[in-house]
Amino acid sequence: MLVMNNVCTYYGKIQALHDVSIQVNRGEIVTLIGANGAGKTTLMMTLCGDPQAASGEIIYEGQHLRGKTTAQIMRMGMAIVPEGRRVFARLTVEENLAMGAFFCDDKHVKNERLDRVLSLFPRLHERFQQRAGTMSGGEQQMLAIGRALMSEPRLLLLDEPSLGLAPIIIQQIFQILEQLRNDGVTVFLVEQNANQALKLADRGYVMEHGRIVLEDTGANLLSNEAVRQAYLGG
Amino acid sequence: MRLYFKSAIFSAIVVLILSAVLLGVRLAQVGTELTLVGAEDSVLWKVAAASLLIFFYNLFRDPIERVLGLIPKPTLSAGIRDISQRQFVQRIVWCFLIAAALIFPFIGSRSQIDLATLVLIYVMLGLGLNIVVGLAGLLDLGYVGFYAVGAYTYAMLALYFGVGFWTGLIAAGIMAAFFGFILGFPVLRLRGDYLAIVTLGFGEIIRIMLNNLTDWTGGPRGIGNIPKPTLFNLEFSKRASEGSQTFHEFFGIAFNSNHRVMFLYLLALVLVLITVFVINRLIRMPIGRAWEAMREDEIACRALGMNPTNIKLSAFTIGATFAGFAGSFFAARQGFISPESFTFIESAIILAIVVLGGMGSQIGVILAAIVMTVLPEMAREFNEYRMLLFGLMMVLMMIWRPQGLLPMKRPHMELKP
Repeated sequence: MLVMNNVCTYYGKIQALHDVSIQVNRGEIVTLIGANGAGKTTLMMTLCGDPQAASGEIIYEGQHLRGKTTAQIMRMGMAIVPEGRRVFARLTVEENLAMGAFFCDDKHVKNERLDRVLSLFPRLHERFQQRAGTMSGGEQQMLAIGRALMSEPRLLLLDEPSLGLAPIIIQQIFQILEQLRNDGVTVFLVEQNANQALKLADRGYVMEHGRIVLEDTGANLLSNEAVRQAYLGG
Repeated sequence: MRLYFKSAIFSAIVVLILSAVLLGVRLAQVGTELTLVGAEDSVLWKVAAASLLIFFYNLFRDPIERVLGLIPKPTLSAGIRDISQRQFVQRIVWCFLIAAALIFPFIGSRSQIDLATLVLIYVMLGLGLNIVVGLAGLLDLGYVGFYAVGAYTYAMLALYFGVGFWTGLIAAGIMAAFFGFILGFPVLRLRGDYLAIVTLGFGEIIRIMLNNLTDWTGGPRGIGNIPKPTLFNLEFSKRASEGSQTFHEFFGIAFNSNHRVMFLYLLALVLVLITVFVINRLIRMPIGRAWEAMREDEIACRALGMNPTNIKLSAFTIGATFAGFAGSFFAARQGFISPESFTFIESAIILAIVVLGGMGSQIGVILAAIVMTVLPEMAREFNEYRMLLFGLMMVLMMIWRPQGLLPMKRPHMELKP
């Protein structure tokens, strides 16, 4: 579904990604783990077209993404939950969700999607008319995911959804990701919380200094000695 | 009880020095020279009294503030909870306002109507800038530039091509929109302070250009004899120009110069109502939502597939259009325009209207426009202290209602789980 081949990305003169190749198949949950500054978020951003990849190819559903703007890419059936949630703080939950379905003109379809999101996150239903900025971090994360789902994506990208959340909330969110996979959504997850992410993922990539250093199934990575040493606290 | 002796002395001295220099001495012309003259005793007494007042206020700050705290602050925000009921109340308030505005010219005096027309111009400008600043969150300090473009478009079309007001109005709107679009491009990447500086420069460039394109715009001499608006080609003058008819002849009533003032007022009112209506629709449309989302978080907007370029450009363009309409109306009302009318202070006043009214709120902007235009007029007697009063009002606002007079409200209710 999504293939990156030998992608290099630069920030000015500094090379942030070195010949990165990954693959995400339909119906999978794939995770990318790595330390701070390994290039995880850069990879995610390159996928979205900002910064643009300097070389290599990015193919999504048979179409090349290099050279397309972020706005174009995000309308191709892909949605991202950006790092740090980035909900519209002074808009209500309802308005936030409506923004997710910005390019859907059919009111009926919109309402169907809204019902689905609200049944996934009953908490959002309780907070429907509240301003997003006044909610807790976990609720905001749910809203960010809900907003991304409002465009009914085939591929959902998540950048550190567990950032700054309580363990119990993280668990809830990961459960929802599993549920989404069962509904047929492909999930690509960038995480620092390697333990949780690998338990959930079908496959995983490990990133170090802008390179992919390991690739295996989630279970194998979880039992891999080197990974355990580096990311799972021994 | 704590006494603030040191700070009391300090502030009293500051007041004494400042007011003694500002009020205590005057420049007077003696023959051809300027000399310093001390003010009358009464002024000096007032200065002394003021510093004493500040001294005691600071000394007994705690008890005084406790007493002040007992005075209830204005709580305009205590609204009605239920949405449907609130919409109903809102509609009634709107109807009442419109009715009052319609009746006003028939009971007000000529100067009052004239002032109200000025208020309406500022309402239009405030509503237009509200799109850019309040909704899209782009701080625009050069808004007066579009106002000038609108005014000059109509004035020059009338001067060189004999175009009438109504055509001029449309042309002015289109021209201002075009300039808004042009300004939009270079500032797309800018944000916050940088955006403010560039827009400030833009406003000045327009004014300086108008000042220096002497061949076309008449430079500092301005353009005069701009034709007044007509009502279906009926003129509001004593004698009709060739090929047209006057209002009083057509209706067979005696000529009254008040008719024109009333007509201008009603015309401005219609323009304002159209503006309110159009912007109200825009806010509810996806584009309005997109403006607000852009104000909140640009990156999130892009992540949702929205194109920030289009959204920002549309905000600049549509905002500028209303300034263009206001500009052409201003030109028609004044009959004479010069670059003098479009200085930075105008931009500042319009921005103050938007901020004072509560960013994004339409009724707030209307209220603020009234306050900002009528108060300085009423305070004409204290001419010298006008800016002082203005500053005082701003400070009080920041203390009591930093969110503006009537901030934008969202329907709010809690669903009980």
